[in-house]
Amino acid sequence: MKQESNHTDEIFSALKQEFSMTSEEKYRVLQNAMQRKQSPAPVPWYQRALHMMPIVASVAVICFVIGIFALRPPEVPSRTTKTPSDMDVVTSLPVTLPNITTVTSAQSGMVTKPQTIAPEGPIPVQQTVAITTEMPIVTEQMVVTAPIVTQTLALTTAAPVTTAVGTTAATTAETTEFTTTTTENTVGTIVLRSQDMEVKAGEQVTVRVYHDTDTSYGGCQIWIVADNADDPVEYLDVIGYTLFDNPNVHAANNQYCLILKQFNQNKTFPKDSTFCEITFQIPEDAAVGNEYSVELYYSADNKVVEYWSGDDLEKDVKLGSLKVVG
Amino acid sequence: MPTEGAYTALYERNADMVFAIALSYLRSREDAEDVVADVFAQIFEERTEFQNLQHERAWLITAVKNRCRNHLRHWSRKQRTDEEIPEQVRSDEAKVRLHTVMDIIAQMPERYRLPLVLHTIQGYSVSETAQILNTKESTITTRISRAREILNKKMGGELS
Repeated sequence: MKQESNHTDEIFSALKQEFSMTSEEKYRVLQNAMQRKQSPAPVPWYQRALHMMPIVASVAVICFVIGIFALRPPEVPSRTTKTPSDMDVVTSLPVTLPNITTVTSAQSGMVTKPQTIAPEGPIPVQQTVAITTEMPIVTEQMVVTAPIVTQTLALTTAAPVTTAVGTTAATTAETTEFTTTTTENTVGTIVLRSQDMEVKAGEQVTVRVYHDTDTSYGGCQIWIVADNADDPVEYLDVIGYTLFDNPNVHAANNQYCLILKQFNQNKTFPKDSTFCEITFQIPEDAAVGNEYSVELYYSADNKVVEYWSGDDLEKDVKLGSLKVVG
Repeated sequence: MPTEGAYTALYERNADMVFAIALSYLRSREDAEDVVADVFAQIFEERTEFQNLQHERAWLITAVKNRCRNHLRHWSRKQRTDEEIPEQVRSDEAKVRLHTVMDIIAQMPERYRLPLVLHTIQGYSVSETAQILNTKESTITTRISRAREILNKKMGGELS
């Protein structure tokens, strides 16, 4: 074991060295950056525009002449003929929206032009959507004047390299609840009401587990297990979790466990109190048919501190499953 | 307006991080140097100002990622093969192993690669890495474990 550890340290130490710049390299790159800064600036846009003026003027004249001879001016409807239905038509005209990219805050918002991301859910009418781009710093705001469900929105900002963060009130997060009924300190009499749920690849899911009797125990863990994913170690992106009344949270991984929370507190939890709540994202590439079990790992002996001893007192219980559908 | 000295300090503070990220994408020191120079040249040129260290790092990471992607998109890169590894390198088992590890890191999904590079290689704490990548600490912990697991699996269990 010690040898393996030394070997790992050796590799990571070599990696650290390889991934660092030597002082010579550092100096060379700095000089290089300074030189690039001093290189002649490109011709400003207005100078380029000046050169284009004769062509632009000719095209404008041609368009003007065509416009005068070919197009009739539209008739202006009188106020008296305007009806409520006309007004409806006006408000339901395709809205020319500033292009936006919708990103949830959990996604860290680093999106590169020209990526286009569809909104994750309906944006309520009159919802103000703020868009902040970090590079270069650009902030835009838009007011959505019609429900947007299907439109694909894209962000147009200053080139060449731009990232954007957009936020909306819309969310696709779904919550499902699993209930455990336990009799104090008796593994054999655990009764479960479970709920299965269909999820989609990339979907954000919140799982909530709560007690429906007064419960006391030495230790419990909630596992989200990939049952039949191609890769048995298919980790989920954990967005957040809450484990109530538990000061001793830690996460660990083994070959099946995606999220593991445990606690050593010998406490009594009242009926209807929440045991834990975990929000995570089903992998974007999760195949249809894959299933994630929500399992409770339960230790009956409330004196047990070492979870990994006393196998006969421990039990995995499936609470329900999340099945990926198309 | 920041002074020339302030920009040099900014460079000193971040050059290694930016270089490590660039190298993890491009696998070539020359290409990585080029990208790093480009990123800092933009800051010097535009006299970019940052609100705080977190903003500065986030900006740099985004800039270097974008440039690396552009670089990979626009330049047809030769895949490194065993034949291309110089004789003296091939004879050195440790170096071959190092190149293999670097290749595996470069092929990892970005969400695993960046936490690994920042935390395990660059030495940022989980909390700092989470701040830099604007992600929760628990997610970073999971991703680092996952990255190490991928590395270990592809190295045939060589890493503990």
